[in-house]
Amino acid sequence: VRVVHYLNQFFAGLGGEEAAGHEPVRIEGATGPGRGLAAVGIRVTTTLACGDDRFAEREDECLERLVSWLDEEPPDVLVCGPAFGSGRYGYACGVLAREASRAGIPVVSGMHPDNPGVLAAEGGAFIVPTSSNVAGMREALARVAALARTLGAGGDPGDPNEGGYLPRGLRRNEISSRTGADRAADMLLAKLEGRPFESEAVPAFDRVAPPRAVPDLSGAIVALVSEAGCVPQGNPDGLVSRRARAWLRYPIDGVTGLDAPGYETVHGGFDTAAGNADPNRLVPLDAVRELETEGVIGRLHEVFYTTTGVDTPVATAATFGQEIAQELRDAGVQAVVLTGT
Amino acid sequence: VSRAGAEPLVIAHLPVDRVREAGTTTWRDGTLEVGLADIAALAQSEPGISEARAHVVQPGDPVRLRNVLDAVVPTVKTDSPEVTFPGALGGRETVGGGRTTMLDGVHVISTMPTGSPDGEEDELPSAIVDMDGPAAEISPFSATPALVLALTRDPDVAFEVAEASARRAALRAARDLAAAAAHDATAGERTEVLDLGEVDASLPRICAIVQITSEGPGLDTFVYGRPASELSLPSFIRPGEILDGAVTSGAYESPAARNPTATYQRSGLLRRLYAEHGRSLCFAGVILTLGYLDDGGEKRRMAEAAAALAEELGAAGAVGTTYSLGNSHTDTMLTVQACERGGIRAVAIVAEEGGLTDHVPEADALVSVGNVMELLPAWEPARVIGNEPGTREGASRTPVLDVLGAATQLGDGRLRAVSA
Repeated sequence: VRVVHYLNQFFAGLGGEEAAGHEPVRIEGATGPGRGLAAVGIRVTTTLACGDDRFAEREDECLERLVSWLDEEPPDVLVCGPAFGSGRYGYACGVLAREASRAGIPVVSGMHPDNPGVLAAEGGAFIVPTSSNVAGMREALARVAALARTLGAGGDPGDPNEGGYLPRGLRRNEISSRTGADRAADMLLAKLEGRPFESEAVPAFDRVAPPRAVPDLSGAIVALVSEAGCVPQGNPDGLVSRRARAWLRYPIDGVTGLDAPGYETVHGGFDTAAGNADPNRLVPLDAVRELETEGVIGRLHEVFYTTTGVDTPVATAATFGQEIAQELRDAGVQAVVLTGT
Repeated sequence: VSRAGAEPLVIAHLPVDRVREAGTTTWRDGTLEVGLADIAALAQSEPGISEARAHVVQPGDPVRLRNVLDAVVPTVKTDSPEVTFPGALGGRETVGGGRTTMLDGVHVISTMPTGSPDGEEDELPSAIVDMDGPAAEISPFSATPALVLALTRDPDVAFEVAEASARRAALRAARDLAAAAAHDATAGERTEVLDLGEVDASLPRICAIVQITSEGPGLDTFVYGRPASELSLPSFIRPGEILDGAVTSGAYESPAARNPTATYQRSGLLRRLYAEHGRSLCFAGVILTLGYLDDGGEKRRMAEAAAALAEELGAAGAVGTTYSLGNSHTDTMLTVQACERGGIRAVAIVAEEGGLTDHVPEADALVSVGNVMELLPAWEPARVIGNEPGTREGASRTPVLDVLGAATQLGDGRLRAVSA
């Protein structure tokens, strides 16, 4: 079994805070906590390391180098950390884990549940919960090793309780021995009789705090973004009616309104008759142009962003949002009118 | 507590172990022979259907059914076949009592590509039923043979005309199969008696709150043949009426999470509550509610009215079911909230799209019927029934979402999503 281990500068023995800018390096065999893994039966083939500051400041470049090493000799399992409560180290572990898992490499890590690296991994790693500091090393390594052994052999670690890892935010299907109807009836009887029961689905929503108000719109660039499926008449780029895989942008410089029949909606999740009669009701270009003329807003961004928001997996939609938001940021947009259907 | 006029529903279940093509339809000792030509000819006589073909498919066949509209359990009112599927096919008479004959082990499945050839009209999602491969393991319609009505829509006729014809054709084929079998049956029946007689008054009264939807042709659930949007909901209905064909489907959203007609006819939830009646609870009846309402106020009003009706029935607890995906889950959550605030303990059955679509703090007892976003392993059928002409079907990974009834939120599947 080929095991690659990722460490930061400190645990790789490159130095302390003064070495936090250390470039990515590849070291043959185990070092630092990797030797501890050997004691519990996991022999590390190669160690990769990078300074925490270096990774934070030049993420793309560091990641490219680290991933290229993984590509050269893909491991059966990648172990990152454990990073305990260290935010920068945990973040690097999480990002590398995310990339490795996208390449099909199983990843095990260890972190305190509040470490930002847990979110950065985006469900790509089996992360063992650890103490916030290195005092928990021995216990963490034993649990990391157990998972690494299972994954390295192509096994299934089971659910988070069985496998001893933090829920990855994934919902995996299994076949129950009883129908949903029977489970519902039993759950209701338990609830009525005051017996213990366990809900099968608990909310795990990404709560987005509203941003602070823009203090002065008269100088702001405002953009229009919508999932209403609004496109130029004829749908020139073939936006799909549901389960979108892409978002689109269309120029609106000099356009005063999204009037029919110049625009239409291809959305498959609502009755489109009213929207097609006046596409401005989906993407309110006419109204925002008026605000621009009146000087209420500084100016409108030169393109509007569009997709269809129906049956789209949440992860896909989140990626759309991040990509569009990045473009808006780069363009200096300060406010967005986001119309949903 | 028995209600005036609520006579027991007695269902004679005829087992179907084998289904074969034949010249005429007969049932004998578990073998159903189906006269395909007659059934196809009847379907083709419906307006708006340019072509109808009938097939028999078996579990394990390398066959995929595409553009599936509905699945129906063959059933007939034994003493009055003309009221079978009242309103939708037969006379609009109250059902849920008296004798019914039902075939166990076979479905009638209708397929029809819904998009117009010029792509002008919005296509409904294409539901699949695979008779083999990974999707067969999670579909309630793959484990038994099926009579497939593969219909082609006349492109010159409005969608709603062809759709109504497709519904009638499937219901009629289901009725006629059961009628022929009932005629031939001399033995081999299993008799099910569904009765809500008087029970110990100290048992907790429980109701089921069944959410249906009605948004126009292709998106309608029918109650006694009328689209639910034309009814005054929420409304009380006896569970026997639902099991006896009073509720039929013409709603073709989200294939995995919709409720084909067969799921109402077979409902394991209603049957379980019947079975518990007099033992652990008193089954106080079913409340039909409408989901997919247009705004928050409408949703809240429907939820509160359903909870008030449950209170009126003396319910101490309720099981809420959900139709399809998306904003109908808000209707479910508000119904749970209204019940709990009214002192009625509530459980709801929901499918997940990578996770819950909506949630309220009161919803502390949810049954998950699966994550419809999960992809199944790739499988390539050798033959496809129900596709548009000229479409090729390769080996691809199908999301659970596409598999008819795989995550029905009436709770008849065994799928469940767990954290990983």
